[in-house]
Amino acid sequence: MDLEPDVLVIGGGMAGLVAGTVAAQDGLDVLLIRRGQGSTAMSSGAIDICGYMRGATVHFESPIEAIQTITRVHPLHPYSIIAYDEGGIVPEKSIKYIKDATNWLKKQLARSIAAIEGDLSRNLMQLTQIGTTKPTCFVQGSMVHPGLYDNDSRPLFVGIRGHSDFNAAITANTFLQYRMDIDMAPRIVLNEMIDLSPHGRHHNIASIEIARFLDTEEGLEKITSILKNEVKRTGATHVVLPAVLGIERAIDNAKHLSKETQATVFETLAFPPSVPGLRLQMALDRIFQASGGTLILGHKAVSGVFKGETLVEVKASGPKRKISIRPKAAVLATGKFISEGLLGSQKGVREPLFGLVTVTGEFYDASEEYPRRHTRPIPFTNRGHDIFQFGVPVDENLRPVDYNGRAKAENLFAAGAIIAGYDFSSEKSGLGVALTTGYVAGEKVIRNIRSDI
Amino acid sequence: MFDVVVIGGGSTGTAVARDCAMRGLKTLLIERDDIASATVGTCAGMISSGLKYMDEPEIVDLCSQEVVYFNKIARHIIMKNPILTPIFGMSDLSSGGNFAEEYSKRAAKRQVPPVLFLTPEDSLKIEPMLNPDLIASLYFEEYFINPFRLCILQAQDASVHGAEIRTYCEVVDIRLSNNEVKSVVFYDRVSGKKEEVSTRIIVNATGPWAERIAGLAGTNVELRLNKGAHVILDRRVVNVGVIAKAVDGRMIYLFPHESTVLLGTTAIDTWEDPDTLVTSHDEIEYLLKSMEWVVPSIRKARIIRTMEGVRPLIAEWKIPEGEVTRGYKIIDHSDEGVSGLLSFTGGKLVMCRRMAEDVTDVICKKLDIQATCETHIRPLPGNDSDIDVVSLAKEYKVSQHVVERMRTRRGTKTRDVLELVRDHPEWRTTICVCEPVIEAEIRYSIRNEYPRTINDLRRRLRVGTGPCQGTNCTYKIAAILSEELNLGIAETLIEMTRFLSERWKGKRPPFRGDLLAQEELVQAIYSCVGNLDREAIHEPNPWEEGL
Repeated sequence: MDLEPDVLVIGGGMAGLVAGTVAAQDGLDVLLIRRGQGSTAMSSGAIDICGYMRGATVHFESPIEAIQTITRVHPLHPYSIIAYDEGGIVPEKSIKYIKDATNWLKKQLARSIAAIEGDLSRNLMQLTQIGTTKPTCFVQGSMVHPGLYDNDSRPLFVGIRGHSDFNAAITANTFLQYRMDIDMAPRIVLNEMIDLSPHGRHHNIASIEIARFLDTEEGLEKITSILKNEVKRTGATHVVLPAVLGIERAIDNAKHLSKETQATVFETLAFPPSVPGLRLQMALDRIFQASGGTLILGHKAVSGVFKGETLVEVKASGPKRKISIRPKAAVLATGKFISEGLLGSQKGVREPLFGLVTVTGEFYDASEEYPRRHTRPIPFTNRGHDIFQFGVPVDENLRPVDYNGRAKAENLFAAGAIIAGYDFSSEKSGLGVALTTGYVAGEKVIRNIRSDI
Repeated sequence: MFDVVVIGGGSTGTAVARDCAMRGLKTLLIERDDIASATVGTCAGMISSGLKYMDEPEIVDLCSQEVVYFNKIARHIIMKNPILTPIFGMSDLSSGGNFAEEYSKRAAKRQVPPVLFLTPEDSLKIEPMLNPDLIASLYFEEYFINPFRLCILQAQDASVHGAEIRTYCEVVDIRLSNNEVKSVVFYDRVSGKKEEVSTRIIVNATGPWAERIAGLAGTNVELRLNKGAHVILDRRVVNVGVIAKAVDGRMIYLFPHESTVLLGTTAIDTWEDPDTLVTSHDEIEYLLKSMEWVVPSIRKARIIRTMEGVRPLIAEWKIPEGEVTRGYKIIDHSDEGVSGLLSFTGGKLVMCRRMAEDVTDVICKKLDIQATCETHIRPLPGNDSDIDVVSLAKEYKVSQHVVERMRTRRGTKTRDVLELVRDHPEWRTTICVCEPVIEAEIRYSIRNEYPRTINDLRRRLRVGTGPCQGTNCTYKIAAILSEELNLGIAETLIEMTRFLSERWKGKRPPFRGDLLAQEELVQAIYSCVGNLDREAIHEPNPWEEGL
C-alpha cells in the first residue's frame, strides 16, 4: 500500500497527536502511525510543564518562573531551543509558545473526557495516590480539590476493598503528616474502605475496571449511595478517591458526586499507567481524528529513505501488510526507551528508525556511551539519571541535526521525549515538553509545506 | 546463659541453630541483617551431586547423601532440573565420560537416572535453543532448593525447638574470661541498643565475615574469598539446565530457577569488602560471551538483574579457584588458646546440614551432652506431607497458579495462609503480579516469619523478583507492611525507595535494552508522580557509597 499524505507523524502520544492535530486543523492531510497505545496513556493524566530545576529541592512557584530560569541555565533544554531567535535565547518566545500551546490544548480538550483546569501562573501541589504532593500545572476536571488545604477542611480518604492500588489509611496518614510538617494540618483526616464490588468482583480489582463500572448507571448509583452515607456519617468536606471515576464520565461523575454528597469529591494523581492518562490519550486521539487526521494503529515505522537533504519515504509494517508512505514532511515523535524511540545496548544508545545522531544530556555523542555510566548509584535523587536526558539533538526549528549541527533533512521534525536535553522525571516536565514541542513542530511543518523553512 | 550462640543466619548458621535446638541446647542465633540476606541468597540453589569435584570422592559421596536427606526433610522447596551438557569437541567428551561414570554410580540412591549420552537430534529436541553444531550431549538431573526458604524454615524450626532468633543484631564484641568465651556483645539495629549475652560456646558461621568475627576474640581464620556473579534472565529461556565451558575453560551454567533463568557464575579472587560487592561489566560480558557459543540467542533474552556473592573457600593458594577443595573445616580456636569458639570455613549449600551436625557433635562432646542428631530425619516445617493444590485452589477460590507457587514455599502450611481469606476475601488480591503473590500470604508472612522490610519479604515470598523488579508492587507492599508493623509515614516512604534501591543495585550493572524501558517506568511512577526523588531520600546503602 502506498500513501502520500502532506504530513506523516510517527508516534502518537501527546507530542505526535498535538503536532498532527495542529497541522490537520490548518487543512493539511495528516497521517499518524502508531505501534501501540500511545505513551500518554502511560502518564498520570496531569500535565506538568515544569515543577523543579534538576537538582533543586524547592519547586517552582509557576511554570513561567521555571521557563525564565531554565532558558538561562540550560541553553540546550527543549524549552530553550524553541526560544532561539537570531542566535540568542529570548525567554519570552518560549513562554509565548507554551502559553499558545496550553491555551490551544485547553480549548481542544474543553468538553472532552479529559477537560483540564489550571494556568501557567502557578504550579498546583497535587495530591498523589500515596499521599505525597507533586507540582503540576494542569489537571483534569475530576481531580481539582478547592479548599482541601484549608485548615477547616475535613477530608475523607476512601479506598475500595480488593483494589490494591490505593490504601486509604496510609494515603490519609501521609497527607496528614505532610500538612503537619508545614504546620497546616486540618483538624481531622478520615479514612474508610468501602465495598464497591464492581461487576460482582471482590478482589483483584483494577482501576480501569472500577472506572468502567462507574461509567454505568448502576455503578454511579452504587457509589453515590455509599459516599452519601459516608459523608453524612463523618461530616467530611472532601472525599479523596483513587483515580477511578470513569473513563467517559469521570468529570460528570465527580460533579454529580460532589452535588449529591455536598462534599468535594475528587481523584488523586495516579501512578502510570493510569485511568486519567488513558482518558487524556483517548481524548487526544479523538481530537486528532475530528480535525481530519488519519490514525493508523498497530504499525511500526521501520526505515526511511533520504534523497539529499529530504526525507522522501518511510516504510512501515503492520501485522498483515507493509506500507510505503511518501509525505511532504514528517514529525518524529517516537518517544524514549519505553516506546522504543531510542534503543540502548550495553555499548550505546541509538535511534533505530532513521539512524539519527543521538546525544547524552551533555550533548556528547551517545552512540558509544555505556548507558550504565549515565546512571547514579541511587535510583531516586533530585538530579535524576542522565540516561533519561539522552535523545536526538535538534535545531531551533526542531529538526534533528547531524554531527555538524545541520538538519538531517529539511522536512523532518522531532517532538516529545525523543528530543535530548531534559529529564521528565526530576523536572516534572514530561507532558509539557511533549505538548510544547508537538505544538511547535506542528507549526513548523505547516510552514515547511506552505512556504519554506 | 546460653549453651550456644550461633553468629550468622545463612544456610550454615540456621542449620546449626536448628541442630543445637533439636538436641536440647539453649541456643541463640544472631544475624546482622535478615535470615539468608548475604552469601546463600546469591547462589543458584543447586544441591549438587558434587559433580564438579570428582577428584574428591568423599565429597561426592557426602553431597549425594545430603541430597537424599533433603528430599526427605524439604520436599516442597526442592525441584529437580534436567541438565544438558552439549559437547562440541573431543576434549569435552573425554572429561564428560569420566564424570558420567562417577555420577551414574550414585544415581540410583538419589533417585535420578544414570547419565545418558544423547545424539544431536535428541539434544535439540529437548533444547532447541542449543547451537546445532553440537556432536552429542550428556543428560543428567540435579536437585535445586530454594535457599531462602531453606534458611527461613531452618530458623523457624530452631525456634520451634526453643532457640531464640535475633535478626538485625550485629555482633560487636566477644568477651573472654580465662581464655574461654564468656559472652557476646551485639548491637540491635532496630532498637539501637547494645546487649550482652553470656554463653558457653560460640559458633562463627559468618561465611566471608568469619575473619572479622574471629578477630573479635583475638583469633584468626584464613579464607580464600572468591566472588561469583550471576546474570538473571526474565523467564525460562531454556527448557532444561545447560552446562558449558566458558571463555577460559571453566564450567558455567544456565539453570532454570523458579520463574527465571540464572546464568553463572564467575569466579574471581576478591579482597573487596563483601558488603559493597557489585557485579562488574567484565563479569556480565564474560558470562554472555561464553554462553553465546552454546545458546546463540542468549543476548536476545531480557536481563532483569545481576547478583553477586562471595565463596568463603578454605585457604589454599597457588591453584585456581576450581581446584580448591569444596570441603569444609571446623576450626576449634582452642588451638590458639581461646576455647569455646568454633569457626567454619569452606563448605557448600548442599553440605549445610551436615556441617551443622558435625559442629553440634563437637559442641555436645565439649558440653558433655548425650544427644543424637535428628536433622536428617525430622522434616522442616510444612514438609511433613504432600498437599492437594487443585482442591485447595477450589476450596478457597484462589487460582491454582497462586496456590502452587505458595506450596513451593510453605508446603502443608499453605492452608494456614489461605484460611486468612475467609475473613478477608479481598486478600485474594494479587499484589506481586510477576511471581504471583497474594495479599494473604504477605500478611501471613509479616505475622509469622519476622520480616522487617520489603526486602525481607522478597526473600520469603519472592515478591519483586520478577521482570518488573518491584515496579508495580513496591508501593502496595509498603502500605501493607506499614499497616502490619505500624510504621511511621516517613519510614513507609523510605521503605519504598530503599527496596527499589536494593533492586537497582542489581539492575544497574547490566543496564541495557529493556532495563532502560523498565527504569523509565520506575522513574515515571516513583519519581515523577510519587515525587519520592524529593520526598524520601534515604541514607545510602553500602554499595551506594561514592554517590
